[in-house]
Amino acid sequence: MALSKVTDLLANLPIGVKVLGGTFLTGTVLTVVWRRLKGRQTKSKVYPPNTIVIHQMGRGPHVPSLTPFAIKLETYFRMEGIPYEVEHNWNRKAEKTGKLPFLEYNGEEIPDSEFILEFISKEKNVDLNKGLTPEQIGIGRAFQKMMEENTYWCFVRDRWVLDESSAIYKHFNLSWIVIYLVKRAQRKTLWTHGIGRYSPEQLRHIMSEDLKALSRYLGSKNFLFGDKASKFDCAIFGILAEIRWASFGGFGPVVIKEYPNLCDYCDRMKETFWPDWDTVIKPDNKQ
Amino acid sequence: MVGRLQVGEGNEEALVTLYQIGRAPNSPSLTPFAIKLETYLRAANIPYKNDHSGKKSSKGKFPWISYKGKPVADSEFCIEFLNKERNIDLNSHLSEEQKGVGRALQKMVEENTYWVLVLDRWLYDKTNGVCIAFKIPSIMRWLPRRKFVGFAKKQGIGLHSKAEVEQILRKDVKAISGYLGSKKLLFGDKISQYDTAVFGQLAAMKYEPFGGMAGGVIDEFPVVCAYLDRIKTELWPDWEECNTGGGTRQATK
Repeated sequence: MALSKVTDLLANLPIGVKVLGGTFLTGTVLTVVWRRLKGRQTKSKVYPPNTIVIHQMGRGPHVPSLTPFAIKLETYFRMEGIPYEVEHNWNRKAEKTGKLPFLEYNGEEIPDSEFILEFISKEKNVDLNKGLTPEQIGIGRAFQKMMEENTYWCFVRDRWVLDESSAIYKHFNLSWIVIYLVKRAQRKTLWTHGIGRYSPEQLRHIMSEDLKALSRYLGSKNFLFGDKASKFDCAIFGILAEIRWASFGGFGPVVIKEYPNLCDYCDRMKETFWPDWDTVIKPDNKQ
Repeated sequence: MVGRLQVGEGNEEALVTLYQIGRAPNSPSLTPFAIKLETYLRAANIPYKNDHSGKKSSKGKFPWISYKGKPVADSEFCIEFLNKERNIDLNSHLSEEQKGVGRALQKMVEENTYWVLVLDRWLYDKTNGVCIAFKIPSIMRWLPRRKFVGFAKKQGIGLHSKAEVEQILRKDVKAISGYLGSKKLLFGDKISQYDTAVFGQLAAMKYEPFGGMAGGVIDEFPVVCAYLDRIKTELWPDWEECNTGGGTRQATK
């Protein structure tokens, strides 16, 4: 009896309310179903204890990852001889931050490349700043942060927004509507960040000034502090590799060529820690 | 460290007008970029006058300047512009390597440490110090809080816990402390353009901590505290005239 009263009530609602209510209900049900399906698809593989697993977004056509922070992590582990596994999945992001890369270790998720390195340094008893003076640590931190928090955003805007040929989108066969929507979302993010408020010429100038600073400090040294690479070199290499080899249609490669010692530095890091670079990258998108 | 300060009326044409958002309770500005720019003008002996009327730049932000009728937005572009116009180079005594390090330190504090300040003032400070300073009524405070925390999340730092953000700040300040060592300023005894940028960001945290955690983190590094006090004494002998005494009076300068 109560049910028939409810159905009568619903039947007597205005048509507009029925349409809105129906749309809302359908949307909610579809979202819940989609999230459950996604969860099932991204259920993780089981690894032996104490296995380091880097979750990232897939090998790039010209670089081992389209995120510099994954290149940073892998380069560091290779430098220290720390074995690791890699899992590639755009859809599985860190639960806490919603970003990639993140680390999986004994069932625990650790997001953010810097916190990952701190975690590993404690777990594996590795000194991240081995052999460096406090002054060098200060310099290394400054350059790493400049590259990761300033140059990085110049490069993001260059690759994803300013490149009029939309080369990266076309490489992944994305439709014009996806290109339009992603560029629009990126423009908004970059505007609120601040880097999106500069003209393209000003942005290029900022990127060039950052690279000039790094070039000036590096000089003729093999690595940032001489003949031995440090964790800071791994972080810097992540950003430079993207600018140099994965700008797609952006101006990054032209800007970095203004600084030949940085180009040589990139090649040196690649040859030293990624002798298998050409077998790792995926030119044809197949993972 | 620097020549005599010149602020005020003079040759109007050659006077820089610095557009800001008003004096803060315990420091010259609520935005560290205005403290940076004004510190630079003082270090470079450039006559200027302040305009606190609230006129925004072409980028919708503060501070900005106008000079000989030309408006320039963004503190860094303002400095590059004035360096060219007035043939100034506060970095002339630096080696190429030092110029590289200077830029890196500046970008670290402006693009990383700065976001800790944003979160500290708009999220962690439960005394609502910055809202009171901006005279935002209680019922409206959620709006700018949501905006700034949203910005910090988009940048990335806002996704971390308070303890993690504190650790990020500690590492930045430790880097500056490590680089300073026993030096008076970043590159010795003479001030550089990079000192004005680093001072801008850290002075905002140290001298205007409100109820946040950032000031306390800086206090853990006596080398950095001494460095900030040194620049404040030399370039801001009128510091107390350039703030509102904790919101109790008008600033006289």
